[in-house]
Amino acid sequence: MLMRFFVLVAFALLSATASSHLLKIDRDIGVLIHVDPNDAPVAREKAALFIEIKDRSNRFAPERCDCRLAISAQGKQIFSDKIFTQGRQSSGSFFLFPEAGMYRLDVVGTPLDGTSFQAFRIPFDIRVEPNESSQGSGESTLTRYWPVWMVLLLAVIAFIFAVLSRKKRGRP
Amino acid sequence: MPGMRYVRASVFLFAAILCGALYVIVRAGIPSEELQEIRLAELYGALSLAFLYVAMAVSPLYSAFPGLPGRTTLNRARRAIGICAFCFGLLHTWMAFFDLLAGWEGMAFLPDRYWHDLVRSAAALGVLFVLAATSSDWAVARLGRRWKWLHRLLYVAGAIVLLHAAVLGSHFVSPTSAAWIATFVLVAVLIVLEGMRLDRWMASSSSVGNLGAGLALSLFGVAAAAALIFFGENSGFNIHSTHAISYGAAAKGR
Repeated sequence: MLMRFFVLVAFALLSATASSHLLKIDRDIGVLIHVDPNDAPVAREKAALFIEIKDRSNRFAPERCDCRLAISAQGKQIFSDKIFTQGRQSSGSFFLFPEAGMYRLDVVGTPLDGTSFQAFRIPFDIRVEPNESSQGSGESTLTRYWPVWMVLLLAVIAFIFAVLSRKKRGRP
Repeated sequence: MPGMRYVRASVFLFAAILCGALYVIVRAGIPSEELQEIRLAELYGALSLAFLYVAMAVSPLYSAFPGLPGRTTLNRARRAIGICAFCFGLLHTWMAFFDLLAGWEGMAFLPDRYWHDLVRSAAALGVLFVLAATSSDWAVARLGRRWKWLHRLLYVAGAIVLLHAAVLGSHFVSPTSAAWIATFVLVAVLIVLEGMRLDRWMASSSSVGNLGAGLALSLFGVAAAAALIFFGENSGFNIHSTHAISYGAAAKGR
């Protein structure tokens, strides 16, 4: 009874796991990033990148910054564009990753006047999942179907406990 | 019952195996270290919520349906389940705070809304710590009748943790998402069970009898919550809904 209850609740809540922000710091500047969908974009499908920059010394201003997002794969830069378009300290943009694999996102900022705030470069590593709708997957099924494995694991553990508790009670 | 002696140990063993298995599966199956940390923090957070939910649901479940089997086992296991909820919550907090949000140094860079939620969540973790620390047989005997009142704080912690997921969870932006639906159904079941428990309590402690007011009140609460979630879609309640505004600005600006 107890384990069946656990499996039911865990199954429902595993579908409710929340994806996360990632914060990295270069001295006085911090960059908060969020990648949708689910922190692991899919090749040739639109991925949303949210970037927020904060300066501990309060000297940073988007309008005084040549702030760029550079994306590279295997050490070769494939994209570079301005982050801010409307003077906001946060920015959202879309990007289509061409193929699966590891990518590096560099958030780079240099003050237009040379000194008003600290120049920074903050790297993030992003894993792009294969697009299974258009090609054979080279990706680990362990990664792709992790919620299914979790639920199966819970079910197996619950089954073992149920059998053990029956034996303990002296039932066949 | 002789088997009862091992109920709590079984819960701890189950939680420890689950914790270790998830760690190994995620570390072995995901090549990106950052994504591993994100997934582990998410999973431990979801498990904390699952254990917390079960701990909260035991009393109202058996109060509403006294004939259900397993009552003695679940009652005996409940304190161990609560301790596991705290342990998974602590793991989630540790991984999210130190690995994803750059620890103490990162606090200066977090937006205000993030801050508010972190303070609330820290309070919930504090409550769970107090409850876990007073879950031994010795503490129950020592605190006497006050123990029951103290441990009703579990519902306060549960509400704060739910708020934490609703504010920070990116899957909680749309009311039609699987996350909202699963959470809503689970919470609605709990509220209705509490309503039924209230009815039973009123029937046994007053001459008026069971009028069904608790059940009616809980159903009204569930309907009101559904309306609030549905019509609050664009209220900016969830921190990720502000990202959508930025995406919109980017689309217009380029």
